[in-house]
Amino acid sequence: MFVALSCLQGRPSIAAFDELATLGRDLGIGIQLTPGNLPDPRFAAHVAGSPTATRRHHGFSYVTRVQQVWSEGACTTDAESVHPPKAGEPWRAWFERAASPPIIEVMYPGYELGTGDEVERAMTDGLVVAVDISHAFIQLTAGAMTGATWRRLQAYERIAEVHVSANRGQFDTHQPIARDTFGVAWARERGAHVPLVLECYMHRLSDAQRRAQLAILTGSA
Amino acid sequence: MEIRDTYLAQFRATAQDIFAKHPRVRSIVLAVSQYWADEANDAVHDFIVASERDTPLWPHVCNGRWYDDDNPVVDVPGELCTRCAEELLGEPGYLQWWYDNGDAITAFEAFCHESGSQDQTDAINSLPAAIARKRGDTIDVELLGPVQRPHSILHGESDEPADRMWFDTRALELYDQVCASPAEDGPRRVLADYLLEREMPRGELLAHALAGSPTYAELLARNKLEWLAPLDGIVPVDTARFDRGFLSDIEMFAVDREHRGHPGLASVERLYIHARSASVLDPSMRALRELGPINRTWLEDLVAAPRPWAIETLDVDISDPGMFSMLRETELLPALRHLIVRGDFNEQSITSLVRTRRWPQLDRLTIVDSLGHASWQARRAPLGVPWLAIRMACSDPVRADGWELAFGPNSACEVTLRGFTPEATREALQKLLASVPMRTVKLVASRYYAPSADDAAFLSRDGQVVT
Repeated sequence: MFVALSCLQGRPSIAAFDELATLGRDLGIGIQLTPGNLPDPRFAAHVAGSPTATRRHHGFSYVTRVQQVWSEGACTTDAESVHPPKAGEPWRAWFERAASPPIIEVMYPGYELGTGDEVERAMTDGLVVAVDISHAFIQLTAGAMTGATWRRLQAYERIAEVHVSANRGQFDTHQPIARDTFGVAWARERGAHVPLVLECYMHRLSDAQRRAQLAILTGSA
Repeated sequence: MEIRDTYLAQFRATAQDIFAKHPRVRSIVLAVSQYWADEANDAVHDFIVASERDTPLWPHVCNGRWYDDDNPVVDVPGELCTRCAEELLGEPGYLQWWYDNGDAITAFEAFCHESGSQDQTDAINSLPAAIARKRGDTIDVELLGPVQRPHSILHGESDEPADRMWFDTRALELYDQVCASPAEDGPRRVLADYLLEREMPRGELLAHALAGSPTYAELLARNKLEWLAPLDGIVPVDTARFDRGFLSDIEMFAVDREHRGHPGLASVERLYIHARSASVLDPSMRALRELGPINRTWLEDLVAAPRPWAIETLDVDISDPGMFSMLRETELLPALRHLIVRGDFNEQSITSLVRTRRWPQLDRLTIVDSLGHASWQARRAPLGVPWLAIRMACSDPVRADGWELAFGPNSACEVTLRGFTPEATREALQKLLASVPMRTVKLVASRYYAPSADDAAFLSRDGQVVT
C-alpha cells in the first residue's frame, strides 16, 4: 500500500515526504511520488536515502513542481503510471507502439478514458490500467459510465494500480474516505494484489485522523 | 518578489478604474484561492470585492448570478463583487492580467489557505491578499499578511550580503539605544551620522527616513531584501514593515534557532509567530511591544530572560498547565497591558492566572475560545480586569480569529472582527449577540472590519441597540 505525496500537496516536498513516511512507517506503507509539491534540489537524494518504498506517478519531478506528461501524442515521463491526455488529444498510437508503456489511469469526462465507452474499449484492447474509484464515481454520477461497465471494470484482470479518495460526484476533490465511500470495499479487496494508493488531502487531518484513513484501507478500522 | 510587485501594480490600475467608475467605492480587496488537482496545475484564482466602507465586509456573501430558494441570501448594501455586480470590472468582466495557471501561483499561493475545493464558493475558498483604498486622489495598496503558507515563500536565505552595520561594534552599541527607545528619533540620528561617516548604506536610508524624504520609500522598496538579509529565510519580505530604517512589524516562521540573537530582530516591535515556528526570542529584542501567538518554547525563552521585557501585548497559545505556572511566576512583564490566551485551558486556569495580581496594570484580557462567549462574559467582574474580550476561534476551513465581543466598565460591550474567515458572517454575529444581555452594543473598527449603519440596523433587535 502507498500514500500519495499529494496527500500534502502544496507543502515543501521533503517535509511532506517525511511526514507521510512517518505516518506509514509502522505499517510498511510506501509513498507514491506525485506532482504538486514545492520542489527542493535535495529531494532526490533525500528519497534515495530513505527506506520508504516509492513509486512515481504522472507529472512528478524531483526538481520542478510538475512536468509535462504528453507531447505530440507521446508520453514524456518515465513514471510507473500516468493520466491520459485531455479528451481528443492523441495518445493511443504511441501507447500501442511503446515497448513498456506506463499504467494508464481511468479518468473522468474531459479526459481520454473519461467515459464508459472509452473504458470499455481499453478493456477490450487489454490495456493495463489504474483505477481511481473517485474518477469512476464521477463518471457514474455524470452518466458517462454505466453500472455494467463499472462492474466489468471491477472484474477486469489487467488493473495494476488502485487509487482511493472521496468526492461528491462532481469534482475530483480528494476528500478523506469513510468505510462506505464509493468503491472503498472493492479497492481494499483488489488492493491486496496490486499497489493501492490513498490520495486524499490530509492537510487538516490530525495524526489520529490520518491513521484512521490508513486503517480503513488496511482493514483494521 | 518581482512577480507579486507586477501583480500589485496591475491591481492598483484595476482599482483606479473601479474607483473612477464607482465613486462611492472606497476600498477593494483582491482575494485569492487555490484548490489542487492531481494534474497539479494548481491554479490560483482571483476574486475581487469592492466596498463603500474602508474595508470590505468579509466574507462577501451575495446571491451572485443565482438565487437559491432554499438558502436565500440578502445582499449587503454597498458591497460588490464580480458575481453580484457584473459591471464592476467592465468588459470583458474578468482580470485580463491575471494568469491563474502561471504567475499568479508564484505571486499569491502563499496567501491561499489549504482547504480550497471546487465544491465550495468563492466566499469559502478565498481569502483577502491585498487591499486598495482610496485616499483623496491617491490609492494605497497593501498586502494583507500574515500569509497562510509561509513555507511556500521562505525558501532559505537569499544571496544578499548581510549589512556591514551588523559587524561594527560601535554601530551595534548605538543601535541598542535605538531599540531601547524605538519611538524616539534621537538615537537614530546619532546612529545615522555614524553610519554615514563610514559610508554604510543604512546611514543614507536612516537620514532619508528622519528627513521625511520620499527617497526613503524608494530606497526601502528597491533594496528591501538587502535591508532584511539574512532574516529573509525566516521573515516573509513582502509583509515585513520597516519603521525609520529598521524592521518593526513582521511575521515569522523559523525552522530552527539559527537566527536567535541576530541584531536585525532587535528593532522589531510587533512579531506575529506562525504555528510550529522555532523560537528565536532573545533578550536583545528590546523593542518588542506585541508578541504572539507563542508556544511553550517561546514562553520558556521569555521567562528565562535576564531583564524585563517591554512587551505590552502578549498572545499565548497554551498547550499545558505548566505554561500558566510560568506566566504566573514571571516578573519579566511589567509593561503588559493586554494578555491574549488561546489553546488548551479552562476557566480555573484563567482565574488563577489573573488573580495572582502579577499585572495590576493589565487593561484587557482576551480569551480565544471556540465555545463562544456565553460562559465567559459573566466572569469579568470576578476576574477584575477592566476589559474582558471573548474572541471566536474559527477553524472551518481556515484557522483564524473571528468576531470578538469585549465587555467593559459600566456594562459597555464592543464588537469587532479579528481575522478574515468565512465563518465570521453577519449572521454568525447576529446569533452571538442574541445571547448577550447588554442593552447597547457598539461596533468598532479593526484591521479586518469597518462598521456600517447597515450592520447596526441588521444586528439591532428588540431590547438591544447596536450602534
